[in-house]
Amino acid sequence: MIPQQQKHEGITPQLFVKNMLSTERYISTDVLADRMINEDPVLLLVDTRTTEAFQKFSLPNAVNVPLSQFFDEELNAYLDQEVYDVVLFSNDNFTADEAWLIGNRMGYQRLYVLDGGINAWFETIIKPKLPKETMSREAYELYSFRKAAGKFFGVANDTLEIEVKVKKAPVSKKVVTKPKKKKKMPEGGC
Amino acid sequence: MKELEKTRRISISAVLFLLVIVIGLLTFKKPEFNFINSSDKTLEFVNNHSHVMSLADFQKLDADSYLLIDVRSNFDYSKGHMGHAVNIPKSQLLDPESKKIIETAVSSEKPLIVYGENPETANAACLLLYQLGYNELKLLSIRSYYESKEFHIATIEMEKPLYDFAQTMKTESIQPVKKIAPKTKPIPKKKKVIPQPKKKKKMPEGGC
Repeated sequence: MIPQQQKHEGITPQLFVKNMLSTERYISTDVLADRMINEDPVLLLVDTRTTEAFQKFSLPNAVNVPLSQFFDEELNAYLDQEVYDVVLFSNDNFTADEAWLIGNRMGYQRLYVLDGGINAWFETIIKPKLPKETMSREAYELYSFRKAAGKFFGVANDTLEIEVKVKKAPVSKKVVTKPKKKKKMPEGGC
Repeated sequence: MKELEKTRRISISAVLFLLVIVIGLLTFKKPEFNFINSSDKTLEFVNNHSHVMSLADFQKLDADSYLLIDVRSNFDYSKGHMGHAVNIPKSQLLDPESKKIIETAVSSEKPLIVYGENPETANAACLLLYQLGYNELKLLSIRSYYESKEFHIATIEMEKPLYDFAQTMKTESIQPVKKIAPKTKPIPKKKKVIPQPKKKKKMPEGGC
């Protein structure tokens, strides 16, 4: 009886299931961008991908803790703590979720998972899609937020403004061409 | 006489004390579920990625040689599921009934194969089962969904980048946010202090 009890490292299976079923751990890219822009001091981004992938590209200010080195003493200090809101991310949220599950087992606090990972980050913040005309005002507000957030993270003014200009151009040209010719005629008469 | 009474009292209290211990031991219930595989072992299991099984590999197996577990809800299961699949919703993995089903499969040396709405949700169930001590485990890398009154499954590749991130950042001249970085970079320094600060901070406050 007693040895089995001692093996019981971390939380109980019941609590593990309870935490596992909750979706509170997921944090959306929009919420994350908002917190990054406001320079939330308790936010800590942790990249769970390999070191190679991390060196090629990662989110701003992220720390690399490859999943394989989860229990490395130095790196584990980023996870086993109670000061920061640690947001785990990977390309999508598969690896990050695995890291979260292991952290959950150990009873680590304040771990979160970026919903959709870097793929979602690119699709929402870096390359947001223009909402359709039939979509609600909230969708447009979200879009303009994402656009603004994108600018903060270095995206140049691109696609949206080009589309708008193309629409306006033909209308203004028609008006410009007609009046000039008419005005010249009466001037010559005088 | 007084000494006799004292010895009686002591012996009675000793007997009572022993009784309490015996009753305690007899009524002690073993917790039904224990984590058997340690976190280190689980991490190794996860890093091998040997537990992820593609749909093509799965279809090569004989139908009798495994136990296929559908970890979606009862409702989703009733709308449609893969053939031979047994429904054990994630929330009921620790029920005695589910344990029976799993144990019978394990005793006949059948591997457990888990699937759900998507690999992420199924993986949570998969890792739970692994930590409970079921080593012969596979995770189907499929997405299942219900569309036009039919149940569908599609293979899905996990951790596949949709873009070449570094390349798109270059070609679209998105400057990596070096400007912002230095402001918040001192994070690592703070972290070394993390385990200690709460207790240490309280001490000087009291001193003041």
